[in-house]
Formats: sequence, structure tokens, C-alpha cells
Amino acid sequence: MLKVFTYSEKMRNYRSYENMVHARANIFHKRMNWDVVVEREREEDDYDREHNPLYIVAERPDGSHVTSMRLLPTTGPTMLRDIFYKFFPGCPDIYASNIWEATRYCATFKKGDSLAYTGELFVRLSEICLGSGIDIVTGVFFQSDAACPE
Amino acid sequence: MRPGKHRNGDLSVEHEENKPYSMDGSILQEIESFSRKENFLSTFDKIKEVFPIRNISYVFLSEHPNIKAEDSFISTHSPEWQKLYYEKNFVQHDPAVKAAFNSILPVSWKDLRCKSAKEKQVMNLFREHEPSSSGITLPLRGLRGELGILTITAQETHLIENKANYSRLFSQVGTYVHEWFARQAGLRDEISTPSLSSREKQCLALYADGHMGLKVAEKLGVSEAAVRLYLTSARFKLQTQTTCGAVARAIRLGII
Repeated sequence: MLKVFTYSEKMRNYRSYENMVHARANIFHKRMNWDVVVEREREEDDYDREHNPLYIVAERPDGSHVTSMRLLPTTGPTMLRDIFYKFFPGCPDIYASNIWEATRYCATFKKGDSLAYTGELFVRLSEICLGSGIDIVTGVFFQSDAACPE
Repeated sequence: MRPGKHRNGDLSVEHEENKPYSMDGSILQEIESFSRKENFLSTFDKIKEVFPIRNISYVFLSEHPNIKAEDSFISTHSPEWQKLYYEKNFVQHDPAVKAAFNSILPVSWKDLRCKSAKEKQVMNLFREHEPSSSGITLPLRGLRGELGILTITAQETHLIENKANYSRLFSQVGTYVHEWFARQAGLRDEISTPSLSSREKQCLALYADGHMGLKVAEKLGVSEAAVRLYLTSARFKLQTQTTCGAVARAIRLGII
């Protein structure tokens, strides 16, 4: 089951949102040991709270989290411009209304889960972009077994 | 798919060549030189000459002490409608405006649900004022996260058929308008305005030399997807819709 909602619509998708921020805390804080703020086992930052991002969340039939990502237009504040920029020498300053940034892509696969969850997530991402005049989605992806243990 | 489209391995050609959605680059480029918000009315009129759009409205939605309510919007709607809208404070109850707070993607008005009597009233009055029109709400994000909205109205089936292309075009137009209002209000300094980075300049320079797509990627030692990314960003920063336009503007400005 796929859920698509923004931060301001999170109360109507309460369980999906809470499961996602718990999954993010597990992946980015516990497994990958990133410098992220975790409170009450939830990982949520100012991009969530201040800029009303779009989330795409894939869930198992019982509503538990499998994989998710967060999207923001690059005309506003992005992690690429604010944070990742300094890690990549010569990194271009990506800025366009038809380029969006994907961040906090995380997966909590269990043994036996179908990889189709990932497929579904990216199919929906493509549909959203094609329907909204978004031509490019950019993101920084870390090669890590921890992000996707299966 | 038209023959030869992928000849150069450049997928970005696809929407660039989509003629019905491109217009004279000067329409977007003159925005920088505007001194008063009323100048946008000529921009919107020029856009309406190219596309069957009935009305275009913009509102700066984030609250800021530098921006007074009466200076926060510009619209091609009739003075009567604007007067009614402003005096009755419809902006508080307009479902098309509320959509910009809830969604971050463009929203078709046909998908809006009026949740209160007041919201229904605003929508009904709009339909009386502009019969058989529908609209698209485009939420806008400024460099510092400021929220804005651009709405376009047109005949409903026309909007449905063209939603993605109008969303692309008017998100671009809307962002320029939004940044202009932010600059006018003193919310920008020079540092915050994105300029072309070296990779973007290199791509434009190679295009200026007649290279395209795959060739540019090979010369720079990056993927074709990266070249598409740099060129898309460069086109936006140079206020153009096409790579040709971006190359021409970069040369004219002495950037490459």
C-alpha cells in the first residue's frame, strides 16, 4: 500500500507518518550513525517541520513501514544547497522549479518482503513527476548495506 | 516519438521542442528589471496572448512585517472581482489558496473539496464571475522557504489536458514573480541569489561550440543525466525555457 501526503496532511496519515519517522530514526541514527536529531525514537528535522515536504511511503498490508522518501522543490531550502554542498568540491548549485530533491530515502525490509515495494515507490514517484511538470529528481545516495539490508 | 529525438542522446530536448509551451524568452527575462508590481500585468498579458489562459494571480503568502497585505498580490482578474475579494478577505476562505498550504504539488481546482459554507461561497462567486472556468493552484517556495501561490484559470478541459506542461511553465514563471516580491521586501541579499556554477557554464560553453548530449558528457567526464541536470538548472537561472536561449543569454551576459 502506498501513501502520498505532505507534512501538513500528516494528521490524516498519522500512523504512516509516525512509522516513517521511527524507521528514519532506526536507519539514520542507529544503523548509519548519522548526525541526526532523534527524540522519542523519532527522527524529524526542520525540512519536515518548516517546509511542508511531500512523502511517499510504501507499507505492508498490516500498515508497517517498508520504504519511504521525502521530496522538496529546489527553489526552496534543500539539503543539497544547505548541507551536502560542502562535502562535494565543485558541486553545482542546483536550482529550478522542475528539479526536486529526494532525501531521507530509507528502507526497513524484513526477510521475505518483496522488492516490489521499492518498485512501487519509484513508479509512484515517476507518476507524480510526470503529472506535475517535474523533470528531474536529484538526491545524494549513500552506498550502504545499512540503508537497505536485503 | 518523433524521429531523431534521441539522435543526440539528449532527453531534455523533449519538452524544449514542445513548441506550444515555450514563449519569447524576453517575457521572463524582463521581470528582473521591474520596479513596481503592476509591471507584472504586462507579463501576464503577454503570456495570455500565447496561451488560452483567462487569468493569472499571484500572492505572497508567508507573513512578514516587510510585506503589507495590499502589496502582497497581483492579478489580472477584473477590478470588481479583486475589490470584492480583497474587501471580503476571501483569501482566508479560498479553497484554492488553502491548497497551497496543504499541498506542495500543483492542484487542479476540480479536485478541491470545499469544507465550509464560506469556502463554497467563495467558489460559487468565482464561478459566477468567471463562468465555465477552472484553475490550477501552484504552490511556490522561495529561497528561504517563503510560501507563495500562483493561480491560473482557463477552460476546464483545456487545463486538465495540459496540467503537467502548465505546471512546469507556471511554476517557473511563479518562482520568478515570488523571488521578485521577496527581493522588493528586502528579504534577499546577493549571496542568496543562485548564480551559474562552473559545471553549468562548462555545459553551456560546449553547447555553444555545437556539442550536444552524449558528447558534452564525454568531454566533461560526467553522465548524460548529470548534463541534463546542469542544463535544466542553468536554463532556470538564466530565465529561459530552452538550451539555445540559455546559451544565447549566457553569451550576451558575458558568462561564457
